Amino acid sequence: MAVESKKPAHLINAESIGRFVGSEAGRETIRRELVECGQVKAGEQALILLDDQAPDGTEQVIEVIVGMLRQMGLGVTVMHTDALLPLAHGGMPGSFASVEKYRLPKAWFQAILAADVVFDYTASGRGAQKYNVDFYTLSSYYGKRIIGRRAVEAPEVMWSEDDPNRPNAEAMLFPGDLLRAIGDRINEKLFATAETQKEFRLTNPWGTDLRFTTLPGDICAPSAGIRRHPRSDQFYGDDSNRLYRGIAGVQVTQTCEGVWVTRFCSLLGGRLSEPITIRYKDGFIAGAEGGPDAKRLLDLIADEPAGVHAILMGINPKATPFRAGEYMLGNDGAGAGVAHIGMGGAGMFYRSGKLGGVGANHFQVGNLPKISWWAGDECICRDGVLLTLQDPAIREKARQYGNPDELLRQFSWPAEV
Amino acid sequence: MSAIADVFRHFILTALDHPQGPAVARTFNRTLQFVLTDDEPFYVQIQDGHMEVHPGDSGLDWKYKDWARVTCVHASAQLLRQVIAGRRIMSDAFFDEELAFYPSRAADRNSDITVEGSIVPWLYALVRLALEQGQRTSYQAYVKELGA
Repeated sequence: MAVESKKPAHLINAESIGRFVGSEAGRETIRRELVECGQVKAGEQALILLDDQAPDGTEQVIEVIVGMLRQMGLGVTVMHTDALLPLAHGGMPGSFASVEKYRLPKAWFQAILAADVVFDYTASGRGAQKYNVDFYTLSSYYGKRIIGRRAVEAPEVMWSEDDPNRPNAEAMLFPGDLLRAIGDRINEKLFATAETQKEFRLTNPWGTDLRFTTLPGDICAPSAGIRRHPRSDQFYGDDSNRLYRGIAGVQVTQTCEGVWVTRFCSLLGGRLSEPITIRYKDGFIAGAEGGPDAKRLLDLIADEPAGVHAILMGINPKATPFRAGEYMLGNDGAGAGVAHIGMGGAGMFYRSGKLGGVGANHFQVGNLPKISWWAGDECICRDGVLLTLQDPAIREKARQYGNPDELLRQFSWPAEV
Repeated sequence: MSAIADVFRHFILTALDHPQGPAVARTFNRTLQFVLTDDEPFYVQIQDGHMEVHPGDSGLDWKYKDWARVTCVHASAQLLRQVIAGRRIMSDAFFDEELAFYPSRAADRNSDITVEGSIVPWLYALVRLALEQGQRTSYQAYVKELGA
């Protein structure tokens, strides 16, 4: 795949970011990102990364962050470039096509190496540590503390269902330790299903029907990837440091068959002209139907087969993925009852009884609403309602933070979604 | 014990001489089962900061029964020799598909394996500390030889 770069489509803009940084909940979210995710300490040197591919308005977030960090006693350096990891084929953030071995400019590599903590607000900040070799090396080999974020963890929280001009504070400030507990409770069921070699099934009203199996060691993520705070150990990465976008599911599958019906694809630039049906066989895309977008998808993966890298569901009961009754196709999968599938990822994996790759070009084929997810015979999520939220152990845990009825009440899906 | 297992044993134990080594080694208790494409397997047992290298297969069922105790490291003796010699970085080898870890995500119910979390960066750190300690020791010997 040849690499070409341009300003990508974004789900947020300067106006929505302005509302975010101007709100009390937005500033508290930014502060928590620095303290709870970044674990910043006075005297440290912080480095902030930005590129022109990031959404308009990201500078507003950075301005706030610089002020907060300096107030906390850190030294701050901001580096800005045109495209740190170029987005290929008109793709949007979340697509890492053709950049798995893209090398960072040496000055940037050395600057990251020299910093104590790095906040990466470039367009591809989140995910770079998995899908680009230099960021992987900096994070995993050199153990650098890199907090890779887009300007916000999940764009769907930039609006409230009752007020489109106000960020969704309930979702952003949902108790992190309660999200961790919900994730762990879901994982218990996923582990049990994998350990007894039973099958998972995922469906949604658009026609998706996928059946898959996995090894217990391929269940992810512990505690839904929500940050643990405080913590002192050094071996943690970006995807175990989120604030409110909790996700649970599986990484590579041992078997995966069925269809995924979507209206959105990060590799194809976002919203599709018509729904496409993607057929999966043996964990790889085996075909796609649905007009020119389906053909283009198949053309783009013709050189390298695209295999399942992860199938994950959102767990935040307050992260409403619709606005004015309309499903936000470009949501980031934070909300309970939503699931996404990630295709391709660098490295080799044990799957289908042998070691092999799943294609190095990472992209996503959309977040699906109103999912149902079965783990063996047990339904974890039914018609978009996360049943784990009513688990007695979770309700008991929720009492530490407030009224369980209110905290665990999931948004109601509009009938038309 | 195969030659590469013996070489790796000497090398990885050097990490414990690094000022940060003992604390890093104590981070997890884990068996790392090395499966080599061009030589005999061996495994590293790390328990409470103590490291032992043994030849052969650990006998642990990494797929199901013992998945929370063991991680398989797919590599080659040639790659390990290059890493020990400082000619390759393990993370580059991962992207070159010469190094792999399986299963690939959950180390146990509470921690990760890969870049998201723990076990792989932990192994990389031990290797990096062993390299740094080797360089430090040889430089000290060089300085001593110079009489500086």
